[in-house]
Amino acid sequence: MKAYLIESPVGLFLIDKTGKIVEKALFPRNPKDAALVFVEIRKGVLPAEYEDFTKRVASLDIERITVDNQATADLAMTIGGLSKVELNESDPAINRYRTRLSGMLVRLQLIESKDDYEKLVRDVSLELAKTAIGEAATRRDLFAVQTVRTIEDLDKVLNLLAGRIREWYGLHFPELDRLVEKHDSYIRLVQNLGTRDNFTEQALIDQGIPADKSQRIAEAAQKSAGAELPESDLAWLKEVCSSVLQQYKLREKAEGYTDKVLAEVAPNMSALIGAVLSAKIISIVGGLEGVAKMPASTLQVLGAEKALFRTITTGARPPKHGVIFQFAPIHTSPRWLRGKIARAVAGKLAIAARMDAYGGENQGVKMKAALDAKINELKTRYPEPPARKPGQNRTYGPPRREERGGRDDRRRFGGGGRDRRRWSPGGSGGGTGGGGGPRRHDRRDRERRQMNRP
Amino acid sequence: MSTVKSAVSLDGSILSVRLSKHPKFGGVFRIDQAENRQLATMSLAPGKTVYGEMIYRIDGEEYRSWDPYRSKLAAAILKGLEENPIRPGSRVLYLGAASGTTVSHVSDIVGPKGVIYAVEFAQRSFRDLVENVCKDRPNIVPIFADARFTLKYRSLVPSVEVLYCDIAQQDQTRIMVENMRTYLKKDGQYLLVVKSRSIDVSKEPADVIKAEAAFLERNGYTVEEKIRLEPFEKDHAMLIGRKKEQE
Repeated sequence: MKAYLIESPVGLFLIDKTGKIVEKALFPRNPKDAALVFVEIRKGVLPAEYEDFTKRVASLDIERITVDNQATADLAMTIGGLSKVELNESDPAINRYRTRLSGMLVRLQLIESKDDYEKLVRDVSLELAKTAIGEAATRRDLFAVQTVRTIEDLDKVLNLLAGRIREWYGLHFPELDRLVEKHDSYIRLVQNLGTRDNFTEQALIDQGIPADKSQRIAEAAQKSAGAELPESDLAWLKEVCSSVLQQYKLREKAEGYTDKVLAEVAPNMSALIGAVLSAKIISIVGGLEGVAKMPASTLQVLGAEKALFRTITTGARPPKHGVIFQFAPIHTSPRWLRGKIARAVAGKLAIAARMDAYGGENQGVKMKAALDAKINELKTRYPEPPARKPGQNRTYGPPRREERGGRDDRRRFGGGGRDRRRWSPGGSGGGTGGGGGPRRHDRRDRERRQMNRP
Repeated sequence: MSTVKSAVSLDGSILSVRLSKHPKFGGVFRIDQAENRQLATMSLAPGKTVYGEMIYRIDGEEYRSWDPYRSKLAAAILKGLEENPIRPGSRVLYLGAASGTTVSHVSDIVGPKGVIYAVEFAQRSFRDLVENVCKDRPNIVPIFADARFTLKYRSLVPSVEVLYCDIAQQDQTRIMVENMRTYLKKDGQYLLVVKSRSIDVSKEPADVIKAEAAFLERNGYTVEEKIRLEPFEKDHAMLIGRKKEQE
């Protein structure tokens, strides 16, 4: 006889062509246990406690078992052997039986009512949902992602607060702002030395400032034009400083943690471009496996989406690098090499990500050596910037209007850019940053007016 | 037919509002409070908010305001939807449930007699969907699956009256058509949110929407309504239709 095998949260059902349930294996009615069995079933595995179902089906005289999905097909094969299983995703009979299943189960008094069936489906789904959420929480790359996002948040906050402290202490010692570039050194000096009277050459040297710079700072302190800073006001400022310095320590720790996690999760990527940058890339994509599935060309411009979409919509020049720009060999190289280096880095990075995601071997160091060799080769091959083409004014930077095809170009495409904004009627929006050009409808109206002109 | 009533908001303040049933759509209400007019649904999970919406307690029932800037179905209603396939008692297959903002209102509308099969494939959003929405609402079946692989949830989803599709994929319309073939009842209807920017950023949204409508027609579905969702949602449209009758 011909039969159909249907899986459901209630159980497994073998149905003949008259629509009768000829054999069944019922799952536990407790949603939690049912979900456990159901997960296995959907992987195509029949849990051991249902082996007698297999035997009972085998004892029937069945020519063919029809199923409508791969997992159930795998299951049916363990029961009936390969030759007997037919997989048809849109078999009308199966569709019919699936629709009628809850009604059949009620008639056979296997469940109380259709509502009960629905409730069971819901409860099992909720259990499956919990399992899915739990599985996500065990992925370590997601911890690295959260850490690197913390670092990014900290950077924002630290910049903001450092600016505030410079402004604040600047009332008392304005000259120091220019003399000490690094935020954390600046804050440490304020914290440890206090008022500018204490900024003597020796004290600065003791704080680890180079001798010549110490001398200049000490001189500036003596001649400073700033106001006096009473001890009581200084105490409060120092408190803020010490809190910010603590955040700097936290940031360092976060980096250390990222190094540690990435060494486990993505050893190849971090050997190639460093742990923090690797984590940033994973953070943008949302997970290591996502990175592994990306082509190198996408990795190369990851983080430069705005420029990339501008290319697609207006035909402007494509970006050469996204976040991988933060990789030192790219941003420290001369401009004409950056695109070439970015391409080489992205290529190796794609390979590294795949090795990391799919449990490949550790080849990070070897790949890093190969990459360095490639970068050196590029540097020796292109020591000079490329020659300008005739008529071309400059080699780098965004294309100018003439290069994009003049005003005609603007009329055909939407979008907007730096030079568009100046053209908006009434000059609205100019210089406010973001946004970009006149609104779509303004543009359309203007085009219409232009076309109607005699 | 509406009278002024006193409503208690969640923070306990008493407001004077006008509550009326939406003239066209079952399960949808309007709450007018002086100048402030908004859509609302009667809450199936009293005392809970999903996305920070306003809650009004009126005559022993609880109503949740429905923000058109957060929910595209509400936007479509405000933009002149003629017929809402989602009615009290409907079975809905909802693709792209996300964190459950719209799902929660659909759950209010279909009520205890209806069911929503909410499919979502992003882990983070799915967590919010389950924790904030599904746990309090017995008429939602959360399904963690990729809508592209229609058959993966075949054993959980029966045939449905309504298919709602709001997924940011380039081939969103094709994915919905495949789901309709498997799950949509003969006279069932669909609501498709066309995200023109997910389909092709370089084309004019109007052209993208036209192309998606043509794709549906070619595959045997009518397009009965076409609603642009501006200003609530940029470059989006809602298409509504059903399976063509076989001649």
